[in-house]
Amino acid sequence: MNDLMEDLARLSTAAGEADDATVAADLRRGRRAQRNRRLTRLVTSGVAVVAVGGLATAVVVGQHDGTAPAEATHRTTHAMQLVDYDGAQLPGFTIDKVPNGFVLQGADGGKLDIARPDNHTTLDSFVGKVVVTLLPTDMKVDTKGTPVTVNGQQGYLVRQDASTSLEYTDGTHEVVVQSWNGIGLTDAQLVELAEGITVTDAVQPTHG
Amino acid sequence: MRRAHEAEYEAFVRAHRGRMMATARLLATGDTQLAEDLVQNALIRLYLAWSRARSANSEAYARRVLVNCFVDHRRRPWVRRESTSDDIPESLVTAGELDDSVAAALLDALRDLPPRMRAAVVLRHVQDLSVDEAADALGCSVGTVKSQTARGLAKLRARLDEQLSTPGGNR
Repeated sequence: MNDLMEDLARLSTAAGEADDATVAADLRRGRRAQRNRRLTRLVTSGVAVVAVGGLATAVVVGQHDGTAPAEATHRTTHAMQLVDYDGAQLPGFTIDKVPNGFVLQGADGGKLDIARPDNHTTLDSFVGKVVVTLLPTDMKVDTKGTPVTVNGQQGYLVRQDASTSLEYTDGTHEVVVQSWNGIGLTDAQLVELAEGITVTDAVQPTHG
Repeated sequence: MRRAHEAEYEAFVRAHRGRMMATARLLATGDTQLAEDLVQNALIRLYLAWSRARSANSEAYARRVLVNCFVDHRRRPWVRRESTSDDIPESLVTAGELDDSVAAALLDALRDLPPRMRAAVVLRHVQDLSVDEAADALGCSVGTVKSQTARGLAKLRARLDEQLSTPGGNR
């Protein structure tokens, strides 16, 4: 046992300082996440959203990148709508609704990516998408989130820095639907979208 | 974030990112792209919570966030971020004292441990944290750390013995 512990200790590597470019990139990502979070809070709270003919104008007030004096920035975003989906279905999941202007980008049996038609990223990139997948088979729904009801079953909304996940059981599977914050789906819309999902026999469970 | 707080955050990243990356590489058992993703996501969460992190033990706070990122990454579609470097080292053990084959065998064995058990073993026996520090990072009790590390070490030993008894085993 001592040999094992000595070997483990030797796995430790020396760590130097991060260089300027790496630090700057981390700072840039932090600032961007903070901007996205502020905007999402404003849009989802409805406090600063005024719907005009399908458009919503969000007024963001605050420091820009944390380096300039407080200023007002005006952003215009479309209020996202869910629409019925009647296109071809892909293996693993069928779906009744998609965000307006979105298509089924692809599926690999274990997950389904829903994206805008001009999104040509790989199925493993989730930026700007709604992604449907299953929890690894050894995991259960995260009950620390905000409770919601999906088709009469208990589900939970879990917020990350750039996305919101809805975890629920359909009675057989533990399903995760993740929506990128920039899409602008409300919590209720995410639940509505999930209620239109059916996990098919072709789904491939995730083992982690 | 205030300018002064940003300066603190920058200094923290400069000083501690390397160690976070070393921990992440071990948690990811050599998957350097995953390790980089874990660190980037952890540092974003740290930026967003810097006012809270700076008033506590910021290193312990960052460690906790990193471990949470690691445990979480299996359960949700993972946010793959861009690489900060074109030169991510492929080898986990670049400055360690272990023979490569021993390191590879250890990583293989670590990969078989469940995430939280793997994290407990890495934090306690590679990063040399105290039981209290590991419990803080994992958000669990001291007793749980002790039981997880004991079971983890037993599993590692069994796995390594198995490799030894296999013809052509790499140890």
